Amino acid sequence: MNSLSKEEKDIILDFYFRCGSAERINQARDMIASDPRAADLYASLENSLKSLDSIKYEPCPDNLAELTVARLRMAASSEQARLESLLAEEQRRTQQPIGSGVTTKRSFWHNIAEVAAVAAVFLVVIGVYFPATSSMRQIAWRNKCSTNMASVSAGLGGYANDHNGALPAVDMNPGSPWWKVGNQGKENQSNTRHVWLLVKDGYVNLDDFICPGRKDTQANQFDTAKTASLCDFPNRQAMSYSFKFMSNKTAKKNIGSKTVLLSDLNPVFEEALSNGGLWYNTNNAARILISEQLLKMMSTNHNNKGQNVLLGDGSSSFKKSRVMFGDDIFTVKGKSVYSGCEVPSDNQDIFLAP
Amino acid sequence: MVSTRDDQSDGELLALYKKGDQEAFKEIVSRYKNPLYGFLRRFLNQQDLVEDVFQDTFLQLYISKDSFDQGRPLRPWLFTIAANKAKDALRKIQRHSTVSLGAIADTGDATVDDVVNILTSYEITPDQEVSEDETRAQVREIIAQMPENLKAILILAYFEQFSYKQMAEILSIPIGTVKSRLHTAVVHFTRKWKSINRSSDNP
Repeated sequence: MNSLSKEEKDIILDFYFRCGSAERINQARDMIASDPRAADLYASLENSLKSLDSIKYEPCPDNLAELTVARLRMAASSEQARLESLLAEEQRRTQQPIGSGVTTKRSFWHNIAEVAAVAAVFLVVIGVYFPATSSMRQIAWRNKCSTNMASVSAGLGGYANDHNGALPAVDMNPGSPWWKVGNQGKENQSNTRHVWLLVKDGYVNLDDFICPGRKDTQANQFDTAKTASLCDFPNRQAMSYSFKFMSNKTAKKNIGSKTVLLSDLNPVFEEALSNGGLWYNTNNAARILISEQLLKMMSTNHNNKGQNVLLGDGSSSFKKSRVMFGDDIFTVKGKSVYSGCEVPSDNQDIFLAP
Repeated sequence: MVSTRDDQSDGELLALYKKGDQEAFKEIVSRYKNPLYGFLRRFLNQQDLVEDVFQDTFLQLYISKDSFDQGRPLRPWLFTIAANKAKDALRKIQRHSTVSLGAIADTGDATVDDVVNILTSYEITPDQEVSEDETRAQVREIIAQMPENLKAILILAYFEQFSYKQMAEILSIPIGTVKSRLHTAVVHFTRKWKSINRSSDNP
């Protein structure tokens, strides 16, 4: 074996590792076939290294390949995003000079799309935010309105204490036009004159007769002296509630938990009393027919959802129905045509006006 | 090589791969996953390292895609990356290892005569009682303890059957060095293998 030349040994080694030119490979094959020394060397190599075959071939696990592909995709997408960002930056820079040849059409639609996207987001925000805040405002106004009624109730209590248990009342001829709020004449007509006593004598603030839910009311602009000189609320916009009819005869009668003293403004006559309405600024009220719609309406103070009601026991609460104790609080029993002079049909009839 | 889309060459796939084509990613990984995994499994012998280097190799292929000449075969390029990554990985964990990275410098390059001498120095008698599992464990241990440059060239030559030229490219060394280093690796392995088996034959 030692007689093999270095070159021959080299050829056999190259052949074993399948290396070398085709000519050397053929040469090695011939040598192994013809020369036992070459064959022995090749066999020795095989014998020595065949143990390497014990390290078996292991295929790549599928999950490793999948993970690798996933990482490659991530790398590609992040590079793509970076490239797009750079491209956009480059385009933005090149579009800077005015009239630089960049097509305005694309820019226009691009801008429109941006504006539309912003507008859509804005509308969604408004759509979600506005109803929520509107609803919250409504609830806050109801609560404030209820607080007003508590103030009126406290004022009534104070007045009754000072007047031998009697609630404020004025001499009022049955059949007087109870809707003439703001009329400062000598004759007691409006069904607000007795309530005005609470303001005039300082038991209740004028502002407490304005429901915060209304938008057409006026803030109090009168000083104490002016207030004391009046016989009634200054005008219809200075109050937004409707009251129980109270005469000298009924003022001292037992007022209990089933007595409805006041509520948010009666919706039935609101239109007739409003600017341009049938009863507005007229001395002789026209007759109005109560429609089905008017019979279903809740006070407009709280968006036609219901009304706060103050009872004789001092409690106030928000009612989603206008029927209390079996009676519609905004109409006179059995009446369907009104001229603004109606009074409750009997002591059990609850009718709040104006 | 596993090829599921024979209609496209490595070069064509790589061109798509450069553009970020996701199917091309998949195909290239599919073609080369097994040989690359096999090489790393033998070279690194640690599953966590194997998996890290395997993924890093394909990622590096993507990152350095622009520097690759599509006319050249992809396989040696991929193994070049894998070998470098694997060596880096080993360097990180071998800082406290008893095997020096410079061990090959001490052994010197073996000549053809050295190879023949070690092959013929003494015969080993196959031990029938040694199980296949024991043999595998012994071989793995010898390879694990080999200096990395010897280990790399032995695996590339024996298992992957690269040519001298390809190994020179993969390992960035001259062809002459490839041959002498391969001979050294053969001498190193044979000496270790024979010493283990002789000692087991003659306790």
